[in-house]
Amino acid sequence: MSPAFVRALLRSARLALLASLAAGAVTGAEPATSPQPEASAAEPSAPAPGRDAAQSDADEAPPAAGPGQIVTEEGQIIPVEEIEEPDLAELPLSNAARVRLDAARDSVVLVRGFVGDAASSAFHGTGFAVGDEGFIVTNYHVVSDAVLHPRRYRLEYVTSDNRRGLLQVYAVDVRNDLAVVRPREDLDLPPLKVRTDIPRAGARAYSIGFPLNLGLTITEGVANGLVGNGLDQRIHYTGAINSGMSGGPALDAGGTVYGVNVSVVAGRQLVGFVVPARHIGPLLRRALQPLAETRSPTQLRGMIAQQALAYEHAVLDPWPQDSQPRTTLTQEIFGYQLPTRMGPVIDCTTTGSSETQRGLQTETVSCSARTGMLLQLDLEVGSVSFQHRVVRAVGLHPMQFAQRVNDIAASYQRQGLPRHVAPFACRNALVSLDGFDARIMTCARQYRLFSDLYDLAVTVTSINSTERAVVSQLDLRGVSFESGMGFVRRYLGTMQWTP
Amino acid sequence: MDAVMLVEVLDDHGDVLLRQRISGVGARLQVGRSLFCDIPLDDPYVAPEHALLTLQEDGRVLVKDLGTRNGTRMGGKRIDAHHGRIISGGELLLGRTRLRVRTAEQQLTPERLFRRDVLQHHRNAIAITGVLLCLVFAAFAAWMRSPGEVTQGVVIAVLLAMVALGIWAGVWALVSRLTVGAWQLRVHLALASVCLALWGWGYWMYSLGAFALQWRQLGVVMTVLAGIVAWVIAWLHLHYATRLGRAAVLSLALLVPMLGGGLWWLVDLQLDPRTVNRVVQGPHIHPPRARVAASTDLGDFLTDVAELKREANASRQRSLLESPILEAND
Repeated sequence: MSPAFVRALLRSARLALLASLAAGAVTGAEPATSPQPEASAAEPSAPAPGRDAAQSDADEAPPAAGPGQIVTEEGQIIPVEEIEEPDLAELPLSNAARVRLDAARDSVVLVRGFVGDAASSAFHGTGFAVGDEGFIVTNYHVVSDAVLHPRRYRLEYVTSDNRRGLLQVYAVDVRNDLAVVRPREDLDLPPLKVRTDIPRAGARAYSIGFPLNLGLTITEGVANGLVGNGLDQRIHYTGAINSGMSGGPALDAGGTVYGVNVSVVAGRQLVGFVVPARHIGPLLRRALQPLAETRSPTQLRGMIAQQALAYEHAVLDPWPQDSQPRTTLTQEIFGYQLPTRMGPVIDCTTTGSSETQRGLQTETVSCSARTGMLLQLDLEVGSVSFQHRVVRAVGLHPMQFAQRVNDIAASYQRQGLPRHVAPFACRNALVSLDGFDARIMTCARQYRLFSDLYDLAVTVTSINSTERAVVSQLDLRGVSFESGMGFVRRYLGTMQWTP
Repeated sequence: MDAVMLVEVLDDHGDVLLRQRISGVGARLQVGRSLFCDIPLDDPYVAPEHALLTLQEDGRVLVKDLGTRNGTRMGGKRIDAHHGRIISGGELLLGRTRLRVRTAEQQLTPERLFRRDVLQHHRNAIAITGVLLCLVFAAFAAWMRSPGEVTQGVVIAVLLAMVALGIWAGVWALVSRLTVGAWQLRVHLALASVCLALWGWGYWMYSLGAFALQWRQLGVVMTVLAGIVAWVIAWLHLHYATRLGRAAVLSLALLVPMLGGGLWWLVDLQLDPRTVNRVVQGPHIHPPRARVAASTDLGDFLTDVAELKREANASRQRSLLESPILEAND
């Protein structure tokens, strides 16, 4: 167990004690005012906790259209009232988690990948049984190496009663980071129930998995509703999800699967994301045959690339005519009109300082679409990011200023690993843009494994003035060459100098 | 013509320590450690009576070893103790001492044409100019880069330049002292400073020219020029610091820029793991007034993207050839 989780438990226990002392007084306000998500865990000892929590939820999130529905993996829909939900108020905190873990234990398997005939695993994650046909759901990134290099890696499962065997991948959903696998032999694992609606923000939730190969673990937290960037939607889970728990089930208070653990935001504790369970059904319907039996490795890689490219228009295309946002699509800094919100999923932040540093005033606009998806454990594609650094000289000689601008342009480091991408091919020239001239570099590199995917990099360095300049860096990762170049064309066409 | 021979004892650097001229047929010269020898040598590897040189009627010299343990060698071959050898001149090795023998039988080459050694003659002026040019460049570069704390930057840059020049000239002076016996510090300092100044100012001129003209081949031209400068300077260093022949010096000097260039290529392109993230920005920018070349229209610039795609694909093919993906072909 992580120290953070232990601390959260202790804090919850303390709050529970306080709340029970104050029982009968003004306890109703407590969950809403307390900023700690763990505070809701203290509720059980307060009177009528369910209603209080529901009220505070209603303030934060708009009410869902009707009560939630449970959809089993066969497509059968059960009204939410029918779900048997034990009265957790009766159980001490640690018992609630234990009950969930015990109920789910037999349905969860450890998924491991091995290189060739090696005895120790190369990567591992978690999977859980769904439906009557013996399918196991996990994350795509857990099995990605086995999908992309089917003859190099083998996948194995380990059940709670220590049965082992080989797994085959049946279907993958790169966008939502999901995969469906099945053991070669029938294991008869008890399937978990699945609900396709989203738990209300603030609802108690659990995540199960094998963090860092430490054995089956459950963590308790709070589902905080949907977060997204307009393209993807993930359930924000406040609780520990560590590497190795990827692909494990995310359970609601009743023990029903509402999603699949997917990832954590690096460097921040207790912020995790869960893929909504509604994406599982369509994927199960596509799971007909093992992928490696019907496709060559080249075809498999092509299929993965096509899945990644299927969404790029949503990231790279401009705003639709009828939904132009009210905010402007460009931003003017020191006389330069620069592209900012070039599409519905692109967000920008502006930072700048009024103080002069070594003769320069700098304003920086950073824009990105956080739409990346993992093609492999360490390979994220489908993202757009650009940055404009606009500088104004204060008391610098033109030669000194030019030197500083060169340094700024050269300081930007592109990301990429030699095993994923080939070196860049580049073009550069002095180009006349709208109202000003600039040195423009455009570079492209192809992915080694995926011939349809490219990285495009553009650097624009203005050369029109001796005291103002813009250095603009654009990075498109894992896009098709033509769509990417269309974006570059629009990007460069938007820039303007209006002194 | 009367027979005559000249015997010279040489030191490690090839300078003459002692010289003795003898004439008349049958004249003899005994060499050894003993004080009774005609030429006494101070070499523990030489026998008390080591060798005997006798002038013959034909003007040549009979060299006889006097039965020593180390022997007397000429051209790497030991001279027979009984018969000796008749020579018309050359270098003898007695123990560790070199003896140069000359006779009238040797053909003399015509006198060398006198050429003034400009570098040797003006070494002070050239060294001072070169060092000044280097220091001014260091100061200029520091001024360009650190507008905040100019004085500090300039002082550090100038000190660094002086250290670099000191090490460069010092190493060559040491080589010079060890091989030819003279330090020649000012000559080597002149060479080092001229080379550094040419490189520094040359790079800046190139940068300005590349921006102004936007001529792609300028980089190649300047690299070749920098290589030629390196070659000439290395040749002159070797010329002053060693006694090697002209062909050896020229070819050895050719190795220097090739070695430097090869090392740079290896480190910069091959060993750098971030090679895949390398982008080519184009020539450094300079103030707008420096520009001569016209700019391209954006539409024209973007028309050849198909070519860019082809290059990117070719880059992938090369990458796959260099480090193949397993199972790539199945």
